Parts: sequence; C-alpha cells; structure tokens
Amino acid sequence: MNRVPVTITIEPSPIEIFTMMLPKARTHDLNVRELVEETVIYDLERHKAHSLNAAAAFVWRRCDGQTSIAELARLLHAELKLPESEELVRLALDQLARRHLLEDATPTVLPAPALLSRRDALKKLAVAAIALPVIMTITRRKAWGATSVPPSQACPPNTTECIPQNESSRDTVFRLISAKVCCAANEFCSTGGTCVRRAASACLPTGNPCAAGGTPCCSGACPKGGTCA
Amino acid sequence: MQKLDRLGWMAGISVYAYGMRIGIRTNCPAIAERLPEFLPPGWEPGLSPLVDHLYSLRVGGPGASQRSRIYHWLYGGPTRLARTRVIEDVLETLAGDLELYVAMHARNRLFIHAGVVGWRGRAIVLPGRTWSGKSTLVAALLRAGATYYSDDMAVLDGRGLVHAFARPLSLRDYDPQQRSVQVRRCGPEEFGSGVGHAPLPVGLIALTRHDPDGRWRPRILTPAKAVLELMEFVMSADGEPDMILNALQPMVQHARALKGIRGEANETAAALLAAIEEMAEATPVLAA
Repeated sequence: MNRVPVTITIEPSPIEIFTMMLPKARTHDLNVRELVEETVIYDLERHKAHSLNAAAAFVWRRCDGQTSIAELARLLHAELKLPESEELVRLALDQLARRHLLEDATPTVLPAPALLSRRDALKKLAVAAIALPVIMTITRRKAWGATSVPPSQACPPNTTECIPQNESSRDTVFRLISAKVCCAANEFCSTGGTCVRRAASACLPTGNPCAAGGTPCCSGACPKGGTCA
Repeated sequence: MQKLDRLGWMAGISVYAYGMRIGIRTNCPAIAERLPEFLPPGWEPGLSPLVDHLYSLRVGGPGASQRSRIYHWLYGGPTRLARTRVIEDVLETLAGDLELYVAMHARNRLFIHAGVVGWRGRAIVLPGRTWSGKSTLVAALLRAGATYYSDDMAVLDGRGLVHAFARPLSLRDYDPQQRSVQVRRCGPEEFGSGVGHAPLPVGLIALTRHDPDGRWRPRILTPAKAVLELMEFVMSADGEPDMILNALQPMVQHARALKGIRGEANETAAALLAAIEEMAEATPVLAA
C-alpha cells in the first residue's frame, strides 16, 4: 500500500487574516481628485470612476501598509468623530478592496461573515447613514451610448490608407484621399501612403539618446541635443 | 474609400471647428453653397486642404439613368451614413453627424450631452439623453427669461466655464393624425430670448428626465456624485480622464447639483430659476 504524504497546515481564520492585515492603498494607474470632503478616483486600468465619501476617502488615504485596522479606527474617531470601531474600517476596506483600490487585497480574502452590512452598521454603531463609508462607482461607457447614433469614425479599423507626413500638396478637399492617420500605435505611414507595421526597434521613444544616421526617434529626426524629443 | 474618391467631386469646403479639420465634398455646387448652415456653431473656414475627417455627399436626381442614382448618398469617411431621396434628410444627417464628430474629438473642450441656458451670470446645465426632454425644458427656461446657450451640447473649457453651442432648438411634436413625431427647429427669439456669448460659470446642474406623471422633487447630489453622474454624458471619444476631470472638477465645485424626474416643463423651469436665485444670494458670482 502506497503511503500518500499529507501536509497539515494551520491557516489563520479569515477574521485573523483581517486583523493581521496592514492594508495598503493602490496608487498606480489612478487619477485622483479631491472635492471638498469627498474624493473622485478614476481607475485608468478598468475605466471606472469611484466617488468616495469622507469616511471612505479617509480610510483609503491612510492605508499606507503600516497602519493597522485598530489604528485606522482610532484615527477615524479622532479626525471624523465617528465611533471608534474596527467594523466601520472593515466596511470601508471591503468596499475599497472590491473596487481594486487596495494593494494585495481581494474580496475573497475578506471575511464576509465578520463584516457588517450597512444596515447592521447603522443599528450597531448608531451613526447617521451619511457618515458611513460609501463608495459609488460607474463604468465609463462609450459616450455615444447616450446619443441616438454613433458618429462615423475618423480612424476606421483595418485602415491601410494614410497621408505621408511630408506630402501635403497631393490632396484637395475636392478630390480628396482622406487625410487618415494610421490607427494602430505600432504602425507608421509609409511614403507610398500605406500603413506599415513598425519594427520593435524601428524608433527611439522620447528621452532616449540618439545619433545622426542611427536609429531615428519616434518623433522624427534626432535633434541636435542627441536626445529624442 | 478609393471607390468614393473616383466618383468625381465638383465642389467642397474645408472647415476648422474645435481643433478638428473637416472636409465636405459634393458633386453638386448648389448644395455646397448651402453647407455652411449645417456646420457646427463656431466653425471657421479651413486653410489646409488636408483634413482629419471627410464627408462625401453625392446628390442624386430625377434625371438619373440608373435606379441607384435617384438617391442622395452621404458618407462619413468610408462609412455610409444616409441613402435617401429627400435632400433635407441627408443634410440633417450631415449636421447631426458633424456635431457628434466634433463633440467626440474636440481638442481643449469637453462636450457634455446637455442643454444649457444662462441666468444672471451663471449657467444652468441640464444633462440628459436623447428624448429626455432637454429641449422642452430649455424652451421653458427661455420663455421665463433665460439666455440661450445650447439645447443639446454643453461645451466646457479647462476652467469649467460653459461656452455657447447655439444651434436652433429641436423640438419634437407628436402628430396624432400621422402617428409620427415631427422635428421642429426654432431659434431662441421665438421664445423671446437671445443667444448668450460670454462663457459662464455653472450655477446649477439639473439631472432630470420627463415623466408625465412625475413631479420635480429633486435630491441634492454631492460634488463627487455630480462628477460621476456627469461622466455618463461626456461625449469625448478618446476618453482622456485627466481632461475630463480637469473640466468637471471646477464645474461642480461652485454649482448645486440636483437629480430627479420632472413633470411639466414650465413648473420645473420656475423651480430651477428659484434654486439658482437662492444660490446666487448665498454665493455671488465672481467676475469672469
């Protein structure tokens, strides 16, 4: 009979995970605006906009990866005069995590049974609904979803026609080959007027050193300073 | 597109609007003369023959030999936008698509799908979808003495000021005999008002839609919630969040934002003017 090795690990309970957690706010790929007491955060990765009320914004601001939940609760009480309650902080953290506004925290690691619902929080903590941490989110849609018809596209997909940069006299409005640019970022307009895929090292991005006769800058010829503009 | 290019174009115009160069070519010089009235407000003649976007308007006619030639055709780039026997329909489609194109690609301006009127140095902005009753409410506000800015697009600059985009109002009337909706275009002077020219700071944002059984009992939105609500109506195609937030942040900061359904337009207009008056008393407008 073969023996199957068994490893037993004792994992902390979800509540213990939460207690141990030193939450850290995500800061990358976010556009953040302060509006009086509230904060608007635009997630550039997911194209979602979040509105954080004062309590939620306060918790998010102080999630520096070194402040414990207990400390956050104390700060929340000191600054916003809310009840000193870890459950209130967890309510905020849960919403922040669900919206990917915390580093290394996903809703799955948050202990759902230990969390208070908004209704429970109102009852238990005896705070006004307006004081509870609240985050409102919208997903940014294509703008013409709000209108009747989509406009015709300036850069239709699979475009192959284009106007070379050095050529301007060939076209008139009256018998125009429309002045299209290449749609794909990795394409450039060849002298023949067609979009050609750019080789990976075909040009140097901004800030890179360049030399005359060498690999050109993506913005054009190598400037005198020897750095691509 | 190459097929279109080969058709032979006899006239055209190149215009510059909100940072975009737009060309319109046609086979009919008489139609070319009419084109300026369908261009977006604030357009200027373009100096360059190169354009960012090109419309091709092929006018058909009764004497055409082939069946397809009795139709008028409109293309935006290579995309067919209209094929109809009624030239006015083609021109309306052109005007609508042009407006939308400019709104979505404008540089240094943010377009919001909203009606706008001016009232004593402040703007009332009415974001809303098509058929939500924006134009009717704008007309009611004009009747009450407001100045006309736009019935469909609020044009914002980086400081959050609203600029005029004053095309004639499009009012829809239901014709019970024909069982159809007729669009009626009318200028602000029909309501005893005029067009505003100076850019205005926003005093009131009213997110509303018409419900015949509704009554205007709005709730107040916080500035951040107002930003989120307004984002739904932003027209920018490129979706530069930085540019959007740059315009929306100052817009909402000194404005009151209200949301709710509305009933009768005149009643709502009176309530909106009362709200902006109340706000004006609390915070006098700063000189622009």
